[in-house]
Amino acid sequence: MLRLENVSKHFGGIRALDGVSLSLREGRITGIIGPNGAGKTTLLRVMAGFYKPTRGRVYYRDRDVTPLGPHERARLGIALTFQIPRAPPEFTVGQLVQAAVGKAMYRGAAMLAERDRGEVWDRVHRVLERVGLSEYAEREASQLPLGLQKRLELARALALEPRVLLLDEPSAGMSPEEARELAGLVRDLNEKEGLTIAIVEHNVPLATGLSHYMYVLHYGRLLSEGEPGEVLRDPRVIEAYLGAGYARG
Amino acid sequence: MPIPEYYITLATLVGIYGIAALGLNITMGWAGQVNLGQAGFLGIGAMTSAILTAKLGLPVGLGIAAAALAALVVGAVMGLVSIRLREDFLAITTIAFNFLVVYIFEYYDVFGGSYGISNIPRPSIGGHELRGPSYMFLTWGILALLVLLALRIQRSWMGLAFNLVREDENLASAVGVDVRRMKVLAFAVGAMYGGVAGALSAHFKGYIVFSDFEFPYSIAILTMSILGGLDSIAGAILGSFIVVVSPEVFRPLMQYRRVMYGVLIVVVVFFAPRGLLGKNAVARRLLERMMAGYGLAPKGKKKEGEGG
Repeated sequence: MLRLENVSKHFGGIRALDGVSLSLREGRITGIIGPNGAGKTTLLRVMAGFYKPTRGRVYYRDRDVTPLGPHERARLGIALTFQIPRAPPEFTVGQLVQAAVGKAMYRGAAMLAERDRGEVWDRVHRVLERVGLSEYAEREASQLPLGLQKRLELARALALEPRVLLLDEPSAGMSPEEARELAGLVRDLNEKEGLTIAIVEHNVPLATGLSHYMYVLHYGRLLSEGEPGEVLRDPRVIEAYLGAGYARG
Repeated sequence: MPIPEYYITLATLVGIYGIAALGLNITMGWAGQVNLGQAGFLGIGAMTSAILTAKLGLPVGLGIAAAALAALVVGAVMGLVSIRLREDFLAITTIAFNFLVVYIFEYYDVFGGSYGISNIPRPSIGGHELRGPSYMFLTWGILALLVLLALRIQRSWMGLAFNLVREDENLASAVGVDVRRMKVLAFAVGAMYGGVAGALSAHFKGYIVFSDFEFPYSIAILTMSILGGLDSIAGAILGSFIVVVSPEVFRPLMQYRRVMYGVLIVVVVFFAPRGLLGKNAVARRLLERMMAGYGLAPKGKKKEGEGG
């Protein structure tokens, strides 16, 4: 579905990604874990087009999308949620979702079409309902607690009607209860709607519980891959990331 | 009793500068792209129309349309430059652009050099030359059309895309907005307004010279925008009114006019950063309360960016 081929991304002298090849399988949830600074967020941003790889290619449905910018990939159906929610002041929850509902309207003469139309807001409300934010449509997004802003990130991504959903630390800052609800939501999106999902998480149990397949990154390189059980048993992963305590526990 | 010529002149100038300030609001207020050289775009519009009509004898209508187009194209180029610049460098670059335009006007004969261009014709309809009140109506008619265009942009996806680019470029990209294209568009459209304002001022005065478009005029236009509220359509016109009329009211302070612009900007930025008619601004709330008192309250909740 989405494939990276030998991707490197350097920032000055820092090699955030170094020759990474991986693929997100259609209709599956792929987990990406690794310690801080392993290159997880960089990896998602390369997939979403926010970073151009220094080397290597990105393929989406066998099409080389490496030269495409983030807006073009969003229009193709590759949606990214940000680790720190994007909620500029004075935008309501509904307006931020509306912005994504209009993804096909930001070019040519369509740009001048009226945006506050009934069918547009119907779509906005349907998306908000899916993530349980209906009652917050009129609220200023930046005033919401972090847990709800994280849900809004997901709502905005879903409003793009994506084929691939890239989730960057979706549970960070959430209470255990909120994280559980979120995991249920992500599983539903995958099982009921067949969405292909990549999830970067610090919360290892959450990632392993959700994922069909996992990759472990370490210093910008792939350390291990496989089904969650296999990966967690991999001695290299235990040594580099999970720690001896995890192995014992 | 006819309205004295003096008031007609003031009203015409308020209309002309209202157009210029409205253009600046689109570039700077809506899309967040700093432009401290709007007078340069007025100059490009004024010179284009003046050369086409006074030197080549083309109709004034064509001159104004060409002025809009010329400013639009140069604005788009400025927009392309803006893509590569951070906000503070963009501010300096737009000032430099203003100086460059004025320099070219002064040193190239086609723009009349230091003598400027004179005998710029008035527009005429059916052999009747538009002067005094009729020119004022023409100016306000064009202003009305450009306000309608601005309203259209504000309520469209383009307006939302501008606001997203202003607030967060990553967020804008993530929802499918081509950030570079929107920056170019914001500059081009704002510059086009400036070009029309410049052409209207050229045909109004009949004579233009390079110094009419120097940097202090950009600051005057910026003062109008900030005073009225950078995100407000009505604010641009109110700002133009205040800046055009106040020197007339406070005539003894005329020599301190430029200082007053600076003081006005500082006062507004400190006490009413949204301007007088910007979103949630004090004057705007008062106005809305008064309108509500007369049963004229706007229906429903206002959406983002609908400052006008």
